Amino acid sequence: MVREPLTETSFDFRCSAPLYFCWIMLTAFLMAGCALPQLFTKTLPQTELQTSPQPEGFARTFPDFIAVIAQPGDTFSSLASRYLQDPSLDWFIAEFNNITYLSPGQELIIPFNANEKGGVTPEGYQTVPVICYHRLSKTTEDKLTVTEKAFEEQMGFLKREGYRVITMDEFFDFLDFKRQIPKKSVVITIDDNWRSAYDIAFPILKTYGYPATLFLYTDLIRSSDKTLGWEVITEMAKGGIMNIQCHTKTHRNLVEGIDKESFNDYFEEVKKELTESAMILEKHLNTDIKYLAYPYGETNHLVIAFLKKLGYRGAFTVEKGSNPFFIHHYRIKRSMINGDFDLQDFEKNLTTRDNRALQ
Amino acid sequence: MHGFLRYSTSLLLTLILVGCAAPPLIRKEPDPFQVFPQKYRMLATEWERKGEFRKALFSWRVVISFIPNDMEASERIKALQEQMRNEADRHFSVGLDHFQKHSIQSARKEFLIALAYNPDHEQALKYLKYQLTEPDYISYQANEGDTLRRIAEEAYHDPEKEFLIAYFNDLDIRNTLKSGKMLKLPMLEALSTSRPPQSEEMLSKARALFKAREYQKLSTSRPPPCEERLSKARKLFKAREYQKALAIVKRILECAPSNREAIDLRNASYYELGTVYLGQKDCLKSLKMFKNVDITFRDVSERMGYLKKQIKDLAEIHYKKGVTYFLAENLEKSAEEWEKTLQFDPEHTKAKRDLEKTLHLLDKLRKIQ
Repeated sequence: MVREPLTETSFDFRCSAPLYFCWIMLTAFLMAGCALPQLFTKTLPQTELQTSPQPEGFARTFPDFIAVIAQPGDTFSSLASRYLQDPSLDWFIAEFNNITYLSPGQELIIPFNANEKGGVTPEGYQTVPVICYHRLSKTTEDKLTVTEKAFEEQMGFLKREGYRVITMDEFFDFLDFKRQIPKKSVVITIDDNWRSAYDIAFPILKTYGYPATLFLYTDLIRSSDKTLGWEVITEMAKGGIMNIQCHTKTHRNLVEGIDKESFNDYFEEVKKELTESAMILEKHLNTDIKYLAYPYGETNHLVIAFLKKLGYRGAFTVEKGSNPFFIHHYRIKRSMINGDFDLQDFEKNLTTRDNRALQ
Repeated sequence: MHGFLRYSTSLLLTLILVGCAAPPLIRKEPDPFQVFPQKYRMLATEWERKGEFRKALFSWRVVISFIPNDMEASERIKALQEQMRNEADRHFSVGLDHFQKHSIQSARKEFLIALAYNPDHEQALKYLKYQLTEPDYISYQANEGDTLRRIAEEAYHDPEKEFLIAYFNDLDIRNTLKSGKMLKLPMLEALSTSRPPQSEEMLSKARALFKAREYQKLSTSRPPPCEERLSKARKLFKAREYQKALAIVKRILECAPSNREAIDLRNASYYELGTVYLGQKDCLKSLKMFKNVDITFRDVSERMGYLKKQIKDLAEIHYKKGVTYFLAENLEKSAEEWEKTLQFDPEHTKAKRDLEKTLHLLDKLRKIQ
């Protein structure tokens, strides 16, 4: 048999068929190799991680907490809003995770329940300073008068140093061991009916969004260039920043008898100081009066018995110091901020923790 | 051959098409949450090492939430829960012991630690909030025959203050008081109408120094701070010098009538003195001391109840002795015994009557002699 020579256009299959078959099978296997993964996908071993419930994007919910991976644009406030339905709980997320800023990709745990009521830890416990102002002035400074500039600096200091100003109700919820509050919480109060509470304090507090409580004694509510009248008091009360509460009717010292007053007379007068003033404030402002600042900071057992009976939730002295959750509700300490304080003096009145007590 | 070629080519083309049409390779993305278990495992271990057991417990719970079968997490959670429960209870017991010994600061510390271990420890919280602070009321349970007037007499030494009890207990003075009713009696301090005497004394001293230009001495003429004096009083108390401790405490309370520590120390000092006299079987002195103690302090009301009964019994014993001496015609001895009776019970009507008769008789006898 003579074999014709191979040309470019011809291929002698008679001799290369087995080879050709092998080549086809090889190609077939290679092609099948491309399609291989999809045949096995469904039988890949399960990972050992929990897969149910299914992740909601970058959050995974459990009964007691949510695990979150922070995304670009997330802030503590936005996470608090999304997962705790309250943007003002931003501090809770930051403090629990022990971080001060958020970066994309950060792993976070957001608990659903408070874990440090009363701020009690094995080292110590939280204390809340309540600071007290009386009069403010654009120019004058004395023991009871703080200048506008100093007040503004002090409010700025609170912001810069990470203090959080809380409301009176939040403070008392903390005292009742019902609520966890930011670690560096502060309460602001202002006493007496000075017009400067409206002219100077109110705008600055509004700028910073700081709630404060103004204690008024009702006999001195009258509009003048020095004192507050009902119009501006109502304006402040409705402004959402200023909480108006009671400082008695006449500002008499509740532990001193007056002019050989009999015990019965004293009893009746004290009752009047505490009831009539509250009624007047409630009538004008349509608000609950449940806190009292004692005139001159003084109190006694009888006055406290009255306050409890009349439904006051707590009362304030002017005894310097910061308040743990177990402080007597009717002997709350307050630190007076004097006109001659610099920021260092101011800071000394802002103790938020006692870590020596449990050592 | 052609068939073979056709078949091979078709197979090849099919495989090629299938290969090309295969979906792109699915690469499984790493789970972004896979770091959580390891991270929180490490945190849990770290918190345990630092003694922050609540934080450790929560961290282990995070681990077990992600890996339900994690043996280590399960065991650590169990162990921590038990340890925390035991520690909380232990510290609470120690705190209670301190409370009963009237070491308020130490009691507070233990109750706080109990709460640090277990924030749901209701008893620890109750003591911290209500038992360690100054009581504003005395609790009193009305007995059969009690009236508001009588209670006011006993509590305030002033029956006219019955209106006070009525007001704070929502009662009508005119109505009968039910036996067993719990009443709140507000504690009363004396009303101040001027500066406390000590301050006035210090002030006039200071004025005199100022006039004499002894300005240096002015700074030392201020009374020592309360805390210093209190510390001194505590030391005297510990050394069992209760009278001296009381002297200091009384001065502190003149300036600061609501100083809780001073009030506590006063109560404790009088209590100890009462106990000392009780040990010496001097019931009268013992009762006198206990009467200065707040009625809610420790077991003072039980002790007073016991002492009153003892005193009553002693009064009867001396009365009967008096009768025996009288019948034996020893008038002087009988008078002596009846005087003792009246020391124990000033209202003992028989002793009063018999003593009067006896003294009258003795008087007559002396005149005859």
